[in-house]
Order: sequence, then C-alpha cells, then structure tokens
Amino acid sequence: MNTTIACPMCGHRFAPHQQGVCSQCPLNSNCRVLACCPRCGYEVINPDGSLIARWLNRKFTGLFHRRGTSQPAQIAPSTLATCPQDAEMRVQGFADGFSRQRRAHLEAYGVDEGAVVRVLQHKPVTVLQVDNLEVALERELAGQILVEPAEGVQDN
Amino acid sequence: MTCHGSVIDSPALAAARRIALVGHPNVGKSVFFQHLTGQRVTVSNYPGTTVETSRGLVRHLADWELVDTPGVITLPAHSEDEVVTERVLLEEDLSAVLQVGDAKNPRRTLMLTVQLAEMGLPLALALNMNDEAQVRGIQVDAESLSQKLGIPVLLTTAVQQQGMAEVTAALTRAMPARLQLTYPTPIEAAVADMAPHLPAGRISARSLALLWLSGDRVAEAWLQDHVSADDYHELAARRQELEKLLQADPAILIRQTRQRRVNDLLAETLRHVSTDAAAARRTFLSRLTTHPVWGTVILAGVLYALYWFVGVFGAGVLVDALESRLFGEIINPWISHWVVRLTPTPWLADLFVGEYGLWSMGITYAFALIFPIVTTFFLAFGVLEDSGYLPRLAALSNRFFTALGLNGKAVLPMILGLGCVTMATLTTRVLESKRDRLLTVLLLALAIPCSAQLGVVMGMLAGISLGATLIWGAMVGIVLFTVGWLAARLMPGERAPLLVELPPLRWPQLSNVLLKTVARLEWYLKEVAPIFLLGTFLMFVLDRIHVLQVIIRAGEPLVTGWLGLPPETSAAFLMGFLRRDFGATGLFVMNSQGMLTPEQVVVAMVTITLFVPCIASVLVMAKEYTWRVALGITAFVFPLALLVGGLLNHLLLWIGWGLS
Repeated sequence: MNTTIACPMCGHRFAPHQQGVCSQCPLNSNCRVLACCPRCGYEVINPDGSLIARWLNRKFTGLFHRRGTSQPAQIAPSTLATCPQDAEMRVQGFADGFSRQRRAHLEAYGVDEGAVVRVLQHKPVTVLQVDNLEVALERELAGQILVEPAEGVQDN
Repeated sequence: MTCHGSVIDSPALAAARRIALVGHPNVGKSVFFQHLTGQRVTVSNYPGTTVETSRGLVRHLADWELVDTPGVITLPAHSEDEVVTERVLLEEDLSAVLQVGDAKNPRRTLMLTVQLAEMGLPLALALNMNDEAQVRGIQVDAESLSQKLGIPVLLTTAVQQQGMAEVTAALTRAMPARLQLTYPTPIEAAVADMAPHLPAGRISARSLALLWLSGDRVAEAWLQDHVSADDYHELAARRQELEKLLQADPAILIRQTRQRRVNDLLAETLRHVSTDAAAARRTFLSRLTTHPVWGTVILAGVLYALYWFVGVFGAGVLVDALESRLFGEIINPWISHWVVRLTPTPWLADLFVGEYGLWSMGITYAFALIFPIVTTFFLAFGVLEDSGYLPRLAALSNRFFTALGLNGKAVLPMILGLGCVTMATLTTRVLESKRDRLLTVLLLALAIPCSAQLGVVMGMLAGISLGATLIWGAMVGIVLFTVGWLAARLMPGERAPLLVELPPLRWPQLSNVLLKTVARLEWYLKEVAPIFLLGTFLMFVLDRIHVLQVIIRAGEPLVTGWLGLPPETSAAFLMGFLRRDFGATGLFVMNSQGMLTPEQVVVAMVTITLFVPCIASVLVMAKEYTWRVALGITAFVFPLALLVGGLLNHLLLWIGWGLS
C-alpha cells in the first residue's frame, strides 16, 4: 500500500489528502479516489481512497505508478494513515501545508517530531496511543503525518 | 532554569484573592473545584464538561475566590473554550494559578506548566489521577519536580480524596516558578525588541511576547485594546520580520524548545515501573468500543439498555406507580376533596384541581410523570458519562457526521442534548468552527429530544410495540440526516476533520453518579416546575375565556386533517410551544385516557419531537449566536415538524400500519 504519491507530471511527492488545489475544487467533498498534486494540479489515482485500486495495488505492487510515471511511488509506510495496526512509529514531521492549528493540537497531545506513537486501529478512524493518551483522528489527518518505523528508537 | 529547594509563603497571595484552576480537558479540574469550594459542578469523564467559568469561595481560605476554567488543549487558544481560559489568565487579577494535570501523561502536563510558569503568576501543580498513573507503572518524583520548578507539586487522586488535604496549603505556598527557557536567538532577539512596545499586564511581558509571536488571537485582541496603533504596528512588524528570518512558523520553534525542556525535566523526575494486567484489560475493552463491528454491537446494547431502563422501567413501571396509584388514587383525590371544600367559588377550585389545574396538571405532570423519567435518564446518563464511553462514540460515529458536514465530535453535544438541549447548545463551543457549531445547534433544536421528552416518547411507544419505536427513530433520523446533509451543503465553509482525545474507560463511581443525578434533578425542578405551572395557568386562562376552544377549532384542519389527530391535540401542541416535553406529557395523558390510536401516537410523537425544545433553548441560541439565528431556526423548525408529521400520517394510513 502506498502512502505518498509521486506526481507523474512534476515528480513532486505528496500525501494523498495534502491540501493544494483540492480545496478549490467543487468536487472535493466527495472525491477520495483521485488526488491532485499540490504543486502542478495533475490528477492521479489515490490508491488509499479506492477499494479497487488498493486491491489491485496489493496484487500488483506499484501498478498505478508505473503507468506513465517516471518515478515509482514510495513503498514503505510513510504516513500514519497507512502504517500497520499495532506498529510503533516515530513522527518525522507533517506534510507541506498542514494546518497550523491542527499541528498545534497534535503537538499538544504529544504527536510532535520525534515522538513515538503506537497505531491502535485505523477503522472507523485512526486511533493513536501517545504515552498514556489515546487520540482519535481522521484518516485525512493521519495521512499528513509523516512517520518511520520506530524500531531501535529510544523514546525519552 | 534555577532550582529551589524550598517554597516559602507567598506574600502576593495575601494581597489579591483570586485563584484560577487551569488544565487540560478531562483532568479533574471540576472535582478540585467541588472539593475546594463545596459547590456542585457537573463532573464527567469526557472533555468539554466545563464550557464557562464557574466561581466559588474557597472553604478554608476566607474570601478567596476560585475560578474553574474550561480545559485547554493548547495555548495559543484555538477553540472558544480555550479562549475563555486564556482570557481569564490575561485579564483577571489572579493571585495564583492551580494547574491540575494528568499524572499518567506528565509530558503533556508539563508542556502547559512551562507556559504557565513563563507567565510569572504564582503557580502550584497537582498531578491528578495518580491511581491511573500507578496502574500504568508511571511514578513521578513530585518532590524533585517541585524543586526543579520552584513551585509546590502534589500527587492527587481527587475522586478518592487522596492528596486533597494538602491542596489548600499548596495554594498558600504558590510561587512564580523560576523557570527560564532560552529560545533560538532570532526569537530571543524579537522578544527583546518587542519589550518597549508591550504594556504592563497581568502576565509577564516575555510570555505575552511569546504568545504574540505564536499568532495567538486572544493576545492580539488584548494588545489591540492596550497599546497604541503605532506600537501595535511595530509588534506586527517584529513578527513579520521573524517569520521572514526563520522561514518557518515561530510557534513551532517555541513549542520545540519547550518540549526539549520538558523532556529534560522528565528524564530527571519520571520513572517507569512494571504495569499490571488491569491496564491491558482496559486497553482491550477500549479498542472494542471503537471497533467498527464490535463497537456497533456495544452501542446497540447500550441503546437497548437505555431504552429498557428509561422507557420501560422509568416511563412504565415508575410512572404507573406514581401517576396512577400514588397521585391518581391517593394524593389527587384527597387534595381535590379539600380544595373543593375550602374554596368559595368553583372557578378557583378549577384553577387548582380542574382540567387545567395548577395541581392536577402542572404539579402532577412535573412530579408524577416527568420526574421518574428524568431520574432514570439522569442515572443512566451519569453512568455513561463517567465511564468515558461517550468520546468513543465520536470515533465510532465520525462517518455518519461526516455525511452531515460535521465530524464525530458533534456527537458530544448531540448526546448531551438528550439530557438537556439548552445545556448542549452551550457545549457546542467544543467544536472548532462557527459553521460546525451552527449546524450542530440547528440539528439539536430540530431532532434531539431532551431527557424528559425522550422518556415520555419511549414510555408511550414502548406501550405500543418495538416497531412503533423504530418508526419514530427512523423518521427523526431521516429528518436529522436530510436537514443536516442539505444544511452542510448550503452553509459556506469547510468541515474540520476529527481530532479528539479518548479518555480512559473507568468504572463509574456510584457516589458521583448519584450526586450528579441529584444536582441535575434539582436543576430540573427549578427549571421545569415554574414553566409547567405557568403553562398550566395560561391554558386555564385560555380555557376560561374560551380562546382555547377557538384555537382548537382553528387548528382542526391542520391537526385533524393533515396530522390525523384528535382536535384536543391542539392543546398539547400549544403546550409544546413552551416546552416540548410539556406538550409530550399532555399527549401521554391523552394516550393513557385511550384518546389516541397507535398510529396517532407515532405521528404525534414524531411531530412534537421535531418541535423547538423550549423557550430557554431559544434564549441560549440568541445569546450564543444572534436573535436572527434563534428566530430563523424557530421559524424553520415548527412548520417542518408539522410537515413531517403530516407526511408520516399519510404514509402510515396508506400502508395501513396500526389500524388493526
């Protein structure tokens, strides 16, 4: 399952729900299957938003991004929305354009750069454990929190 | 940072006498308030219980006032309740701040401590819920932390009264923390540059400058009122320069600096020990309640239990015992007998014990019908609140509310609305955007029945069949969904995605549930009984001057023709304009007298559920928003209620439901 998408047009790597041109699009509210590159606006399939695309992508890894793309998408999980359940992840940062207010709230809950979080579940919403606090957040937000596996990371 | 081995009596405290109780949401501030003042405020296991400040005098410190503030997730403030708290800190003359923190989340707690310390106000820190921290193997060395911060630090478990005896003493020893953080050079330079342009305030100039640089809207508003236009311009220029220099949001760098200091503090004062199995069991149960399948099964079980306890037991067994037996067979006949004997004229007797009598209708409705229903509802609701289950519904119901243009957080005011829509309208402050708040208020006014009405509805429908309850639920649900869906698309602005804290699941404390129920019942009687008596008196007057009959005749085409109900229902609907539970109770009595068929009961219940809750809720809507909003919602809701009721009547007649 891909977590960030490399734009076939300009090569910019972005999280599917990262705000860009989407917020100006009248179809935005019901659009999950497609994602638009925040840099150039090129429309690509969002495998996280499409059940069929996700299944096909699982069966034929990287299928979508080989079509007409010069750069394959990143395979390893890199946002909280797509990392496995029960995984311990270290927060690397937030996607470009991430809301300042949301970031402040997340950081107040302890979800800040360098923090180790445990992903308890993804459905119906993503639930994280940070220290002894559980935080529920929508997939859209989770998809904008960049993470890496926390193996070997010491949480101070 | 300067470390101090001891704390001394604070001379500042003797001069001014106001203490603010500050902390994150759901850490037990209200329990502290109760303990220190002896005043009762609602305490629950979910964030957002306190949306306004509560004030009371401290019992053991003569003439000292304690201010309970809404929980803050972050400072700078983002939500309306955070704004309330920050304004208390900025504007009120505080002698001290008592921060209540979560002992099992010391990192998060200390992030706020550091900010409060920088404000320069005398500070004391209570690390509450220490029992839960111990279960999770977290041990904070309070003494060492106290020395490092230079303020009193206590470990407490407020609900069990552990450590609470020392709180008052700690308040008298509160001191400004001597904690000095050094921020990156450009930020320090900007703070220094701003100093000449900042006025003297309640909090330190340094702290005010940092709030300003973080883009805090409360600080902005405060400075706009307290500095000249030139100085304000200078301050704005400093912030712009800093942002340009850093090429980043200064707020992030400020938070990161604080985070590093907090990590250093914790490294020296926090110890993890092995945990017991109870924490693992709670985590498992917590996950079940938000699981897409098991969570729904648990929700269905909770709703059925609520239906049984309030609808069948409260509105059935208890109401029968009180209304039919105690009031119907003993109290009311005795009172009628004596009132008729002692009053000189028949109309005066009618005023007390007639069809629209103050006793036979007003008091009997309030005490024999509504009182047992709201008692069972408040008991059940108290258990749910204290268990920590309600915020889990926010996660579980997020998809549903997304379709309504909201997020799952809206479920909290909605569920509180089942207790009292007026209070729930205030609680919409926990929602972040004005658009979300307005949408929620509309749905609350339209389709969320309050406890008294819900109990009456459940009691009446339970007497017919489960199918009747399901039809009522489906109709109200369809209206809620359709109006919400349409309003979300018509109302400008974007929905805020869900981000909510899930508090731990806890065993509700019987004493707190009982106390809360008693307090709510007291409030209920004060709120409802006068309105029931006033409504009854109005009905009596309208009846005596024969206007009621005119109204009933005028409403006949609508009530009998469109809604298919008996003409007398007009009187109940008229009562429903004052309070919809008052109107519902009138329908309850009509039903118990055999005046309504099952089909008519369902139509009448759907119609009155969709009425505007009560006069108080309209006033709160006007206060929180504007009269235009309040009147607009009222003008929209009443015709819609009658429209939906009529459509349901024709649909049920067409399919032949309830006619056999």
